[in-house]
Amino acid sequence: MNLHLKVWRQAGPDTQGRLVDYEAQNIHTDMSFLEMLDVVNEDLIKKGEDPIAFDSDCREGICGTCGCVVNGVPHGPDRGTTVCQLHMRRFKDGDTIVIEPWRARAFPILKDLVVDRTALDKIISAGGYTSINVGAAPDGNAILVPKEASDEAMNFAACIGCGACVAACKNASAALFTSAKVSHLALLPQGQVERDLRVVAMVETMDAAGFGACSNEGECEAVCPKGIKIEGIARMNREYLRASVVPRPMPQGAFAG
Amino acid sequence: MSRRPGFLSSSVGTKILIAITGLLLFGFLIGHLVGNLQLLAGDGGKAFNIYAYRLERLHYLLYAIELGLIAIFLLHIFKAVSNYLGNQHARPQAYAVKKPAGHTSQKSLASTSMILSGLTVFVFVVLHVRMFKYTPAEMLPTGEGTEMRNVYQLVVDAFQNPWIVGFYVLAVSLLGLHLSHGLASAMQSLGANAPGWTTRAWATGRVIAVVLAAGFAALPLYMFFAF
Ligand code: FES
Repeated sequence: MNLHLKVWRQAGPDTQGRLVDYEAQNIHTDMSFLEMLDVVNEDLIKKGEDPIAFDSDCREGICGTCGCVVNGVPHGPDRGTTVCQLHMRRFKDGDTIVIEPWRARAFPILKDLVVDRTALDKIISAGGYTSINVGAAPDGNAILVPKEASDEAMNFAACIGCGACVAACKNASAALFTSAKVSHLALLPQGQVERDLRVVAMVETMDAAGFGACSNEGECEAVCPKGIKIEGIARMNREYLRASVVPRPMPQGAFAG
Repeated sequence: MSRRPGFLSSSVGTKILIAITGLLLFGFLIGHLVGNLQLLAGDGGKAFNIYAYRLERLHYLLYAIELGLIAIFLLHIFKAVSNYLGNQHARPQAYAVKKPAGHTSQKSLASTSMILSGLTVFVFVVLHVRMFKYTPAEMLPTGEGTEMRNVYQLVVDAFQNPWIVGFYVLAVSLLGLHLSHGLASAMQSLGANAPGWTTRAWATGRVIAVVLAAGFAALPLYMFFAF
């Protein structure tokens, strides 16, 4: 099939970008969306033009590297998948497809569809870890975790950090991403030591990175390839409230920065 | 160290504050509606006038309550407006094409117009208070040797004007729209949500919002058609 593409082209972070029209010809319905872009890029390279820059790695929907806004929806029309798992059978011959990068102040565009998601890494390093003794291997089942807690923690741990939640949100808020990590660790015994410091440090880092606040619309949940629920944001707010208003001695010096 | 610096200025703290003040205002609305339903008692306004008189006799307590309400209202507006303005900075370049994601999303006309519906309700409240609280009314004997304002007659007279009735119905509809996202959103901001409850929370919030708005809209409509 043949498709009309409108792709955001931007040479660098400080240059003005624009939507450029391309014709994608002889596209198989079995191709993935990114394979379709590969085909378009082959043509561009043959013509001596600059190929469209986009991120991808695993192309199996598990790494979180890929991501672009397809016809106004992050990761495209399929629910619960990344754009690398979107297939061309979702489109019809002659369709027009508008392809844009994630748009957020905190995600500066590097080139075309590639954005800098360092801000998410900063949120993780602010508190998305636990302090544990890594000496000898621990005995099996030495730390008991209730089944419900481990299931729920696992649901939150499924976040692959692609940034679609930020891209979907009208406020470009990273609340769903941040809440996934906060919730994941708050549910497990290993996460209790830094529990209060973690949520405060991660929320402060999230705010400082230039993300907006959450308006509780849940667009993020609807586009999340891993089905992370906004109940996590409620949990993050609960954790934040707990850490802020309950007087409790907290270790100083941890979470520097 | 008990209180973190920046709680009130953080995004989460701001949302918590908007939620608490919003729910307090919602509590006031319920009390206000229940009190006003006495307008429908069919006793020529006796019950309603006595109710209004009793409130006025609270004197300093009433002033304190009113000041508290004004403070809560202004805090709610201030925090919501500054939050809204801050959010405008988070996406400097808009999408050429952006569609609602659908699926599990609770995005709605209500959720996308909170700032507009809220500010319209604010303007309405100012006019509303002026219309009924600060307009001179006929004085009636209370039967205890004192006099009370005939607020009932003020209400009946005001709602003979179809423009005023239309404005009131419009304003309380916008209030209902505001609450249809606001109620569930406030619970979510306060952390009162659990796996599997999001859809139920929003459905419940919408029902309560419609019932409340219908209750408020019934009063001017009744006065218009009954007299
Ligand atoms: S490339 Fe790994 S998730 Fe799409």
